[in-house]
Amino acid sequence: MENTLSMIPILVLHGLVYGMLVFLVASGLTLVLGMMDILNFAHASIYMIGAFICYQVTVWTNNFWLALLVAPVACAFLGIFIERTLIRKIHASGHVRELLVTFGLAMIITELVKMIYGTTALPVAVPGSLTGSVRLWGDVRYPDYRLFILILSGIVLAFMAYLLKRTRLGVSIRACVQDGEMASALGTNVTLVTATVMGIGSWLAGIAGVIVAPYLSVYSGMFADMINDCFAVVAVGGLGSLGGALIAALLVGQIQSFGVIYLPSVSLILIYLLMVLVFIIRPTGLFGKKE
Amino acid sequence: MKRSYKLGCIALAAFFMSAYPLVASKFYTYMLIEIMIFATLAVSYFLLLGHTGLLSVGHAAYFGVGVYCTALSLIHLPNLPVPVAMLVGTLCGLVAGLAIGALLLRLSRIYFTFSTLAFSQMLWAIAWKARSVTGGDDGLSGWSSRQISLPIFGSFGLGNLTFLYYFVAVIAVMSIIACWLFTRTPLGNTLSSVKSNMQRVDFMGININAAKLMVFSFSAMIAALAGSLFVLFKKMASPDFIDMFLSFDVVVMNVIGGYTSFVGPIVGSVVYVFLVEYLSSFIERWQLVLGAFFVCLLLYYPGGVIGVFNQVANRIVRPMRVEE
Repeated sequence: MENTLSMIPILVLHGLVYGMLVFLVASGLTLVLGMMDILNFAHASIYMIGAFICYQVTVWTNNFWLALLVAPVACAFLGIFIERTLIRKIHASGHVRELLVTFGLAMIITELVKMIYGTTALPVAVPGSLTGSVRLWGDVRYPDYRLFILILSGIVLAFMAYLLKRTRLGVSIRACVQDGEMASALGTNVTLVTATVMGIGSWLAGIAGVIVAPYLSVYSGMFADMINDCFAVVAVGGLGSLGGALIAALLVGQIQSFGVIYLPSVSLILIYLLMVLVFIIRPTGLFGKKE
Repeated sequence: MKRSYKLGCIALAAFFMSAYPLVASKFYTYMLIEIMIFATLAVSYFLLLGHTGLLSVGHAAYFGVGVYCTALSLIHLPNLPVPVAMLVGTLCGLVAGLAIGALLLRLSRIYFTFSTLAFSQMLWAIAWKARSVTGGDDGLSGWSSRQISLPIFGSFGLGNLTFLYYFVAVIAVMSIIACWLFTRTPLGNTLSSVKSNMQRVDFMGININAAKLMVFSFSAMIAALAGSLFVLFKKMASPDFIDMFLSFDVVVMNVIGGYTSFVGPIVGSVVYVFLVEYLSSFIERWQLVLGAFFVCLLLYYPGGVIGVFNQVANRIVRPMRVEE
């Protein structure tokens, strides 16, 4: 009994780590959704590409920190490129085609990854300075690397909060999410803001991809694994709501980590049950705009 | 088109369909059976996307419900006639469609799309995890020696390919016709007006959610029927028949054929099965080519094969009319 009790804080930490990872990916998705009304299937593919760039960079240079710098930037440019070339081109012709195009893109990216790297999981070594573990209390230890994920995502979260609440760009972004047309009429360059948001969102997804690489290894099924949790988080939190996404992501993380231990047979379903529950009570998610 | 011309086309198609297994090799008979099952599935999806404008990305769920419910009743009730087992699968699909539809259809557009994916993934997770019932990733099998007995024709084994062909053909054609008739009913008209202007239909005092629920559950039922045919055809059930990628394939078929006309999904499933069959024998990564093809179609030819056909036909027919 004591054993299970002392496991609880560890499980909470595990859940936090996973929740923050999902949040990093979902935050970009939810911002773009709230702003442009686009359900970007390819967003989770960008996360996967981030992880594979990280693998490639560590293979070439054996330097994880370099990968942490390079990969998210590459992802940001890729995101902006996709927005400029594909999504913008098809935006006017309606939701269905837009969604189908990003879905086709996700399909192509997954296949490209399979073609280049095969379907087996590729390991990425944890950087040397983070291989140890920290003593929390008694003889309970926690791996350094997971704590690093927590701290890094905490920093990114704080940066995002600062960006959105305290800078001019943040004001523009929030205005565009609330009412793009009005923001445009008042002189905000919506096109530019949209591209920026797409870039920031992809940058965040890239960071998530890089830091997940040593933790879960890199494989071609990452897209499919992430997209469900990511969609669940965005939907439960409410489209376009960053705070909602954070709360939903933390919930999903805890459900995931406790579900696997205590209810292994139904753990996969628990997240969908959460979704159903939220939709019955609030059809637009926890913090979604009413339509 | 003239009525006699139309009837002639139908008679020709019927003749071709019935003579096909007597002429074609085993491989091509297999292929046409697969095409017919996928065409049924694609048409059932057309009712949602093409006809009502509901974008669902979890249509494999209902197909999978049909697959698993038919398979389970075939395994656990050895004395149950095969058509009754298929009926069980189909009705389970209807119930699943009613239940999920009642929950999801009140959600607005994007939330609806999200949740259809979530629900299909939930059913997939059940098929994957509930090992004692569904066999997990090993799937289910063990009914390949079952017989189908029909009142006049006698009884046939499932291994009899020619018989299976006719059996699938009759049911598939009948369900596709049922879907077509469905679009012609007053309810069908209401639904297509929901697609073009939902608010206006709402102002006219029509209960949109009830209408949507009807088309959603009807479509789920037809999809489950296709699933129950697929079980007889493949003689096994596996989580592959309910996963996300099958849902995507259904969308791909609709887009390739053109999701704005009823014939589109049928043509789409023919093209899709042929493409997959030939691409996969030439190129290892055929899905890449298929994906690129899909995106290019969407970008440049959103009408799909049928759209291109209509454009070409217009170009040829119009000058001729002018000459007259």
